[in-house]
Amino acid sequence: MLEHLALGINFAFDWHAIMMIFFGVMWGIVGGFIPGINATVAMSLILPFTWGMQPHVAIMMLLGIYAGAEYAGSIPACLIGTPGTNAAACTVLDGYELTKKGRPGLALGTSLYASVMGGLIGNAALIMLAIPLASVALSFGPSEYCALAIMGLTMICSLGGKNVFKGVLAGVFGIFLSTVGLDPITSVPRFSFGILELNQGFNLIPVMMGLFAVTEVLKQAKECLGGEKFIVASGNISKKLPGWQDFKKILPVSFFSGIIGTFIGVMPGAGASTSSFLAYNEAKRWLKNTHTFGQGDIRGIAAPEAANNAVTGGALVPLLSLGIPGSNSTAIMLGALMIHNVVPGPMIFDKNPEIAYGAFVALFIANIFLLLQGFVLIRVAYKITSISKPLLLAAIITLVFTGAYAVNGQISDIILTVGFGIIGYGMKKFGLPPTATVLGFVLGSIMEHNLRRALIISEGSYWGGIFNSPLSSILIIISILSLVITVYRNWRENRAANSAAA
Amino acid sequence: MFRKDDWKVGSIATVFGCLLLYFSLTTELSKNVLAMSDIAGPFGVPNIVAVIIIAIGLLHILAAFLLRNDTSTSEKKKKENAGDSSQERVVVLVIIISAVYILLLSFLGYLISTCLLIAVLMYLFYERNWKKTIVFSVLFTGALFLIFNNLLNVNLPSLSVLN
Repeated sequence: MLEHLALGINFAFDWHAIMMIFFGVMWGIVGGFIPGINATVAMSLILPFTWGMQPHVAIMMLLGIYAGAEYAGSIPACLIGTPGTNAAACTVLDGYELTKKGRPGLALGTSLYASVMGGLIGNAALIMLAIPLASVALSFGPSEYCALAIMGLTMICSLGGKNVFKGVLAGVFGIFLSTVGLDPITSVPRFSFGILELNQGFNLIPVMMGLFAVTEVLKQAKECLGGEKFIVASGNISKKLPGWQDFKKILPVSFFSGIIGTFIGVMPGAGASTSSFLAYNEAKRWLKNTHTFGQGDIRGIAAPEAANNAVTGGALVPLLSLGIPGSNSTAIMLGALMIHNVVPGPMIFDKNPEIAYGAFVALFIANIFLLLQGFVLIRVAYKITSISKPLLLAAIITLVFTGAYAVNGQISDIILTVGFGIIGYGMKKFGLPPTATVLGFVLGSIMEHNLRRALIISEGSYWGGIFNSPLSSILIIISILSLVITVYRNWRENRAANSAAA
Repeated sequence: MFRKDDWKVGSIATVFGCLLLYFSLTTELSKNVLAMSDIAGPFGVPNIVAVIIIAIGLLHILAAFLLRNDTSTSEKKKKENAGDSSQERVVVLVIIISAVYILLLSFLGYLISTCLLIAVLMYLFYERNWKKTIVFSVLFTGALFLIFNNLLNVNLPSLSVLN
């Protein structure tokens, strides 16, 4: 293996490969920064240009894009409350709160450090555990996936603030949204009322941009008094990046979330969005003093960011070791390899070590470039917060509409974005958290699809379907315990607050 | 945990949940679908969702009813709502402007309608410097057009006369 790794280092440190990785990270950052363009879109746009490249260089560049885009989605999430990618939706919770408190430098720096740490953890896991991890992931059946989604969904309880039921209400509304369209098993149209566009179901981008960005613009528009600075006055903006103390604070959570992200990345179909929500939830569950989560806690930024960047390493495991693309982004990498008649699978480690081991090293280099380019970007990006409010609000709404249109090239997606913006605004007025709806939407379809597959396997037995294996049973028990603890904590905090008020 | 005005959330949730349940229970499924499907069927999860929504809705109505004599939350709400109606008008205007933009997009094309959208929104948000408004709306629209149309290969709507 060491011999092959040395070969990988040799190929990855070729000046041509280095340049392509550098360009890939830069392109990924641009794509991730723009709402509506995610890693998959950014990679697919570059795919035609890989034709003339050597296959290992093409994969290295695509890896750079993947890493860059997964990180850059957090920049608009922190600065303007609009996630650039789906996976950065969770970063809005604490990143945007921190910016509103006048500390965008800390928010962006934390996101950068955590992303790089997560990326490196995923990279290390890829090198050491590629083959054993793939076999563990393959043992995950529908019951385990369903249990994992249910575990992630327990987070909705903690998003409701003082009223836990409002979090659940918003979350189940998200699950309902995920059921709109053709049923994945029987192809029966559900709640589409004969509207053809609704048969495909809602795309996550209009849902997310509507609930986050348009809602925020409508909220900010109310407070607009002309010439006023956005969020905070420019004089109060702290450009300070995280110091050693902050770094020490995010190190354990980044490590922990990096492992979660790697494992989620290994599992086909789970994806970066699931990993970031799950990591945030688990960080909140296991760390001490988590009452500050959602109010600008840097650990709340580090958890989702480390997890979604760790996915990049994890997602390569099934691609390289089994030839199975676990996500849209790795499917594009598979396409790039197939253009060059390279078939990934267990034999790739022997037949094309320059690709497999080159990818290991390239991901490491990409993360170092990410750190360097991120530093430069942060110094420019935080200036967004000092732009005058009318200008920025108009720019956000235009960017959001253009991004929504770019998804499918359909005006109906802009209509959906506005519609979800109105729903999100109404939800906020009634104290319902839109984040819970996004979480329900992301995990709802995974939960439903796998629950029904599990029911088919267990011949209709709910018990047999859900508690199919020790792993799924443990995950369900953790979910139930977590639900009970969250409701109890909420009740106890409210009682303490009421008695203090009296 | 609950507030006096939670009856609004409760009522909306209950009505929504009932509608959801009605649509999922009244959709007829063919024998083929029933044969190929699992015990939950295509409307199993929506039914569970509807029941949870109705239950939470009723809980909020009940809680609001029990808190009907509570004065602390209503005083707080009154303070919060002071001056809310004039601010709410801005929100309605943004929604109307967005709707008009969507209508104009296919006729005027991306460049013209987006320029207009930015200029109108900036005016609405009390930006009265016309030079700044025009320069920003033209430059920002141009930049977005270049990024999406030329760099990202997104076919943005063009002027319908040109088509």
